[in-house]
Amino acid sequence: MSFIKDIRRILVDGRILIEKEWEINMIVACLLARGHALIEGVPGVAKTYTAKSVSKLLDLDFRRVQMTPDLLPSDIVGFYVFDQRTGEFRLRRGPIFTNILLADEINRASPRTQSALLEAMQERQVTIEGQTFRLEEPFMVLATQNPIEMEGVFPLPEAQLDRFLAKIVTGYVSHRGFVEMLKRVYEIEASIEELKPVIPRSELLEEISRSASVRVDDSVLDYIASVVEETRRHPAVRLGGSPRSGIAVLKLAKAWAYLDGRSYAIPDDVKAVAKPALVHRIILKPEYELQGVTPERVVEDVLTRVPVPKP
Amino acid sequence: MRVALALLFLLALAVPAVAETPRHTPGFPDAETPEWFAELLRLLGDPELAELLLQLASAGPGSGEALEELVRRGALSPEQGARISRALERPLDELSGRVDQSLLEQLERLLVYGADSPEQLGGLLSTLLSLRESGLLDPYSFIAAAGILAKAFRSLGMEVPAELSYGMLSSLGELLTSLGSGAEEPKTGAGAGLPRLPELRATLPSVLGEPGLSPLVLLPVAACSLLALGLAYRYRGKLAGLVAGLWARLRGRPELWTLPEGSDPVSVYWRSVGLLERVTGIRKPDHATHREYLGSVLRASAELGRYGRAAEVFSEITGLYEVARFAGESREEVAARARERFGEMVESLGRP
Repeated sequence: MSFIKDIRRILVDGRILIEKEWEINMIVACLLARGHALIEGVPGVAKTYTAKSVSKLLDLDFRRVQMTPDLLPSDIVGFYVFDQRTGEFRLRRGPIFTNILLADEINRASPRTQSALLEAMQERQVTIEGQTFRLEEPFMVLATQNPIEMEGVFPLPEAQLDRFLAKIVTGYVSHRGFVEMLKRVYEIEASIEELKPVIPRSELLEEISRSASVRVDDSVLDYIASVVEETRRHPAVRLGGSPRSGIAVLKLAKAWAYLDGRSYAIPDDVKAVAKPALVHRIILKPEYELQGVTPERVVEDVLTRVPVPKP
Repeated sequence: MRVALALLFLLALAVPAVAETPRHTPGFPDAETPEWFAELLRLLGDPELAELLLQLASAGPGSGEALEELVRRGALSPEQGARISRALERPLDELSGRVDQSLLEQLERLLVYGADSPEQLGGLLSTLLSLRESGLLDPYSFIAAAGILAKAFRSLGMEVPAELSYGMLSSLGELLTSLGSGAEEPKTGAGAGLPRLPELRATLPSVLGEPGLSPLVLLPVAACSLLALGLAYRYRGKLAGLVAGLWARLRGRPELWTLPEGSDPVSVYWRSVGLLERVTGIRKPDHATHREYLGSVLRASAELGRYGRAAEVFSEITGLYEVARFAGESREEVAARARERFGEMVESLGRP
């Protein structure tokens, strides 16, 4: 469990990623929970840097795909090419054959390409010309999207959003952090290039396996179910959390507890991960949306309504 | 469910029965109590006596002469005359101990300093009339208070309101009847030693005072009582807990400061929470986790500069609770440590 401390020490205490501790923790939690993360933020808030830095420290293969409307599914999963020398078809693997795939601006890709990617996320395998290939563990997609851009984008449908374990909303740093970043801009860029793995891949797989065995008391399970059910009853919500979203909360809560160095989950873990695990699965009623109600506010409201386990 | 429906049906039958029972509107003569009214009518029947009586009822400058004349003509006995005269001449002495202290102070101020405005007098008049109607002011006291009020009206150059004159007249009638019958205190009203609750018959439908209640009324009342008893029996455990809790609260919850033998860390934690809530006033909302509550205790302790040691010990108790509650830790040494820490917390908070 020391790897997360090392990551924090290098990236947070080393001031490589300024004011991004929560985002780093959440990405690692998603990785431990064998899930994928959707990072939402305006351009230039270090989404790519964060993903790249974490993958480098974890000794994992990292690929980045810039999603565009003309990108084809085969550009991601791969395709067969005819080798004239051997007279045979040879597989050219796409960027999805990696450990961490950064799908930059996922909402710019066509729905067909998005679907191909999301299918791989769900099944952890791809099928090319009828042949199925298992993706190497750990496999994680970090997709980014810009919430402001409205033209030339294909917003992800709710069913596909549901595939992401968490939605990590990242924003601007504080003024102080911004000044510090400006002072050390060249140093930071060089530091990211020089990052060395803090944990071998094999050990990371063991950590993933151990995090799944975190103990969750029945009362905490009951609390998770109550929170998710309450999102369905909220007056501003048209579509609340599904059973899958409850599972997402559970997986993330276990990973969060593990990152905190505990072998058991507590209600605080549920509270910590409820927002990233639920916000992208909640659909609001239009009248409330117009009033400025957001899914984040709904989850906050739900957390103040549902009593924590007692005694 | 069937029992409840049957009760509802009985209640539906009973409501019209109750609605049809005769009612008595307070402040108006009751058909059953016409004695004082008849007495008054007798006096008012004579034009000359009526004139004197009205003059007396206005509590004006000539009321003393009118009273003497009434006594001289034999309309009032000397005893009746003396009593009314005392009420009008020394109203505050007569009111002392018979009316509410704040009302007495208001009347005293009125008598000494006069009225500030007609609105003030109007408010006081309404108070007196409502007290009279509800039976909290006996006729004797009303005459004394009304005398003060009538003078105040006149001092502002205003006519004495008709309601006041009517109230005075009716009170005179009641007083004359009661004095005539030899009774020391009037029949209706609170009498000496105010305030006294009004008679039940004067404010409630007369169904409760009627002899021989209708079975249609008795039956649902009895059924409701049975239902209440049944529910009390069904939830006797919760009720007992509620009563015990209330009793403990009334006694200052001394049990909060002690622990039952062999308490586990979970019980210790909740006892600690109860103690902290009681001593520091920092409540633990239902939606707050144990760590969030600990955070608020530590913050409050730092801000107030008090309960530092208790907060520190509570932090350890919270940790022990967490492992016992969520990690399934059930070793006796953990429980013993929690109990020990609780003792420290009690000491640091200052056991009463």
